[in-house]
Amino acid sequence: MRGFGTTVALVFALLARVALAAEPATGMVSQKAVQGPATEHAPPTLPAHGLPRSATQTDDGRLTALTATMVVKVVHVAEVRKQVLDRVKALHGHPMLMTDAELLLKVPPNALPELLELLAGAGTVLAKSLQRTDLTDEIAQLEARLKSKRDVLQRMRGFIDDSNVQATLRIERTMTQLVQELESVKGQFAVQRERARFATVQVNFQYFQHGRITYVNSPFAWLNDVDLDRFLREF
Amino acid sequence: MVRLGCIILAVVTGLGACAPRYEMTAPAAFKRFEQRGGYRAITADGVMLKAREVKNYPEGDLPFWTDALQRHLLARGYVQKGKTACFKTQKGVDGCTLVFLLPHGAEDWAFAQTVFVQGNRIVLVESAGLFDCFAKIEADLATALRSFDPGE
Repeated sequence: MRGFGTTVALVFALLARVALAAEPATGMVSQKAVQGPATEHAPPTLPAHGLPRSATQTDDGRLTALTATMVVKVVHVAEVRKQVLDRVKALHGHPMLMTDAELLLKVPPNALPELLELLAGAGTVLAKSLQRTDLTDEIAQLEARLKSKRDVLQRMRGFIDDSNVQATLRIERTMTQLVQELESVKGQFAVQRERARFATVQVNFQYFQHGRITYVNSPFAWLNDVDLDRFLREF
Repeated sequence: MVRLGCIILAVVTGLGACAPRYEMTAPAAFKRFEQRGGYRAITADGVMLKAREVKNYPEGDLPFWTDALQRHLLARGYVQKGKTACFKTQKGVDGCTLVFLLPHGAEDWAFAQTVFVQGNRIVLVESAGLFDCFAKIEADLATALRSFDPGE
């Protein structure tokens, strides 16, 4: 009975430690993660050419996620969409959503400038935005929680051998709960790592409307002869 | 009679000497009209290519005429496809290509203009065709234009 009491006490002590580890910005979080100003949703720092060098890791080693949105007016949406998808594939990215008027794309961060340049060249850019989200703290916390839960789980396995049936059942119940929590944290961790690994580009296409061709007199005489009908007539 | 023959020969030879000599390694899809003056070529699906020149008056440089051409065609209702693409030919001549789209009958047509400014001449390389046909050769044509020689 005394052995059982000791085991339960140990289990609760371990659980308390797990709960502590789950708190944000614990002592287990790496110093690197907590140093520096909080830059959550801070505007991205743009180099001279106007685009971020890398979405994954900045100069100070912080992990970030880049999200770009663009509204582009193009003449032939189907043609531009095909060009964009071909380029995304070549850049080792992939589409997440494809509709007639919208594309949601994931590309490696270092390929983002090239993709944005292609989109800008495909038509008239009506709107664009670029958001950098700092994930360093969040990823570090998740990493710490993951490590802590794994440690606890490992220790609990050791208790089973020395426990009676009742204690073993209780430990197993606790371990099951712990495994569920571990899987949940692993999931969140994977999602955040993925956000840092790929930049997201959301593109909305708008159609150029064909207007009627009208006659406009140019003060430069030769320009008045630049015309499809004249070209076809004289060819 | 002999004198008249000589005069005709001289006029024909003179005209031949004055005709602009444009050279370009056109994409394989284009077949050139060898016996006609200037530079004219066409693809099997009807994309046409032609070079001609106009007087550079009032005298302007390449950016000036490219800008004027773009403004004029946009004002007429042409829609520019992409951005103006400026390049240097293999012989070091600067040129700019503008591709426009416009409705022609019930179809979409592409109409491209490449401008070279050579002293007192503006050399234009024009091409036009159904949009879908033009789109197939557009990249090859852009490459071929780098081999264009606007002549003296």
